[in-house]
Amino acid sequence: MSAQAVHRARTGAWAVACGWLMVVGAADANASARPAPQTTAVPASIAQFRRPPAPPRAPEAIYVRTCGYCHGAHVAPIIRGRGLPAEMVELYVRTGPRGMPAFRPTEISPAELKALAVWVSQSKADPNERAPLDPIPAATKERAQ
Amino acid sequence: MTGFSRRDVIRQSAVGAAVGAAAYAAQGVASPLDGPRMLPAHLSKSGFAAAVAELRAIVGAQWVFADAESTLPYAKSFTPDPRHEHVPAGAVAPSSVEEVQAILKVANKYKLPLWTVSTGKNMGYGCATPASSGQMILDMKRMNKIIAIDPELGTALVEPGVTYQDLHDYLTEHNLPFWLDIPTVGPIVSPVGNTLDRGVGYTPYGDHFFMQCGMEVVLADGTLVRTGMGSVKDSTTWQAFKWGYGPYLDGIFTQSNFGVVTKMGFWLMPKPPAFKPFMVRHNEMADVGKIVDAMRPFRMNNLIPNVVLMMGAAYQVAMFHRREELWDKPGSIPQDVVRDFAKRQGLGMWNTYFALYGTDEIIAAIEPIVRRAFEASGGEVLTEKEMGGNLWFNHHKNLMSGQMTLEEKGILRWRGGGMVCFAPVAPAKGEETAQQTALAQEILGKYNLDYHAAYAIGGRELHHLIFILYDKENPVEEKKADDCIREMITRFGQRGWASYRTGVSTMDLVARQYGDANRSLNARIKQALDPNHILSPGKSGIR
Repeated sequence: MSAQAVHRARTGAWAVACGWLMVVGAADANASARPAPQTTAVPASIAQFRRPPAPPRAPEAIYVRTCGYCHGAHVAPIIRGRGLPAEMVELYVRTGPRGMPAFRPTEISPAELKALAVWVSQSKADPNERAPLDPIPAATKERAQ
Repeated sequence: MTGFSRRDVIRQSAVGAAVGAAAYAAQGVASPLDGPRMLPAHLSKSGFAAAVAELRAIVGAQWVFADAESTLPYAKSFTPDPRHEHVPAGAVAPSSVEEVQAILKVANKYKLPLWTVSTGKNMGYGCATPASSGQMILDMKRMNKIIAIDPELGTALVEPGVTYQDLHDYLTEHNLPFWLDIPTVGPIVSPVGNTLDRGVGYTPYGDHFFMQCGMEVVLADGTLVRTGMGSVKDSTTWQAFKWGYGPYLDGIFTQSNFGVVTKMGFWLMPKPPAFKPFMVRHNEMADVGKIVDAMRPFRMNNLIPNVVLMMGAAYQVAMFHRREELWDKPGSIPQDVVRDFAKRQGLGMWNTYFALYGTDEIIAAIEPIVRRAFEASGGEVLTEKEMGGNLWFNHHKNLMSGQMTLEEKGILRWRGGGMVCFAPVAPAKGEETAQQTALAQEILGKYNLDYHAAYAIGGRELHHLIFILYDKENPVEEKKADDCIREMITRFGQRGWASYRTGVSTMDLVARQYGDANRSLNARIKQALDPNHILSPGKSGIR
């Protein structure tokens, strides 16, 4: 789709969808029986439907997209540049002590977690990060959109 | 104070690997396989082991979790569970629809209950934990494909494991001019999970189920159903038209356990040419009624199009501050202490965030109308000009423009990591919201808890979101929080106010308030669709 078409779709649709016309109709009162839904039988051999594992993400990418929303963002303690033991990082991620959520192997794979824990343990402090009780800066750091 | 405090580290080392295993340890068992309470109610140890072996054959051994250690992340919850009634037996994580179908076949064979989660981050309502102990978590996170984005229609079709962050990255990478509508835990949760629990966000697309369009569902017997236009062969309108033909089915797969949703469509908001966020500051708790009455006409006529958040001071303060900074006594924090602290942050007792969207001309035309109305209610109407750089204003500006943030999770640190949300619905009438606020404060006060509240304002109602923040590491406090939410649900119910959504420990309690006829109808649908009761028994009080 061309950029122009995308632009047309955007400018045409937003006013309709956001405004007064966002009222929808009721179901057809004269509706009658419909055909049976599509069905799929359970296959005899399931192995063919296994998805190959996704390639592991880099530790920095996981940190920015998950950890960094709280740690260093006024919400949770700073964890970079502190030489925290990698084993402790792994434990925290999997168990979620106190106010921290736990992250499952389906969210951060064992291999990714191992690399992430080492990266956090060895990473340098980022001067732009803020601990929870740090003074609030004049302008809040804007996330790259 | 910066970084890890010594207290954090010491506390962690003291409990070591047992942090998340408290529930197991409390019962003196090392593995779910050894503890009868962890097993499904009607399954022997050998039966469970046989079921696990079959599940491993389906998804691969590394995607079945059936020992105490590997189940730990699934047992994590912020909600009170003083009697250990929400401990999972294990988890299984499929990667495809076909694997889901095969898993359900095994579950039917062994009567193995499966508690379905998408990303398992239902933070105020139990995370991934089940309504009753011994259920196996059906973890859909590995099914994480963004199947289709239609840039002309502004629609998305995704699997349950896709997060708002994944979608955000996709839209950015492909330079697509749409805004997401995210809940306050956007980066780590999925549109599917949030929509199926009928969650909200804060742009004009904030009512997520309203913006949902088409589902694919695996029923308990393995049947694959597509709702709406998705049932039509070669349909090109699955994500364009919600209602399809005949009875509208999508609703019965939300807040329910009638099937496993494997795909869901929804609408994306075209990025508006202009956007202007506002905050209205009121300085008295008693102003709640005036704010609601001032807001109602604008939400009904859509001059203010987004889901508005009216944030109580104690909630806002808790995002970035801890209780001991304000108050060192066990009783509820007095309102004047909260007011004084909030004032120093540029906040009032109520801080109402809304935005105008459109073109500069449209915004310029609407702004004076809403400004007059809120000033007449006694509020100060503030914009980026006055509030730019304020942490809270920026946070809400981000929410109202669909940006990723987890800042509200800071409230978990208020009192030791415990949190549970009580979410009664209020009509958008000032008098009743004031009554709800008074009743909530009275009950919380009885338990020495603080009133951390936000009202999310829809068209004609408000979700009154009351977060009970407590110390989960203290069993006495955990029990108090549990008692408190039960009393709140019960006493609000006596006034005719019921929850729109609730946590795993109170699903029966809330279901009872919706009456026998409602429960019986749900039970009959359940019996027809899932006669072995394998899918999420107890969800919304439906077994």
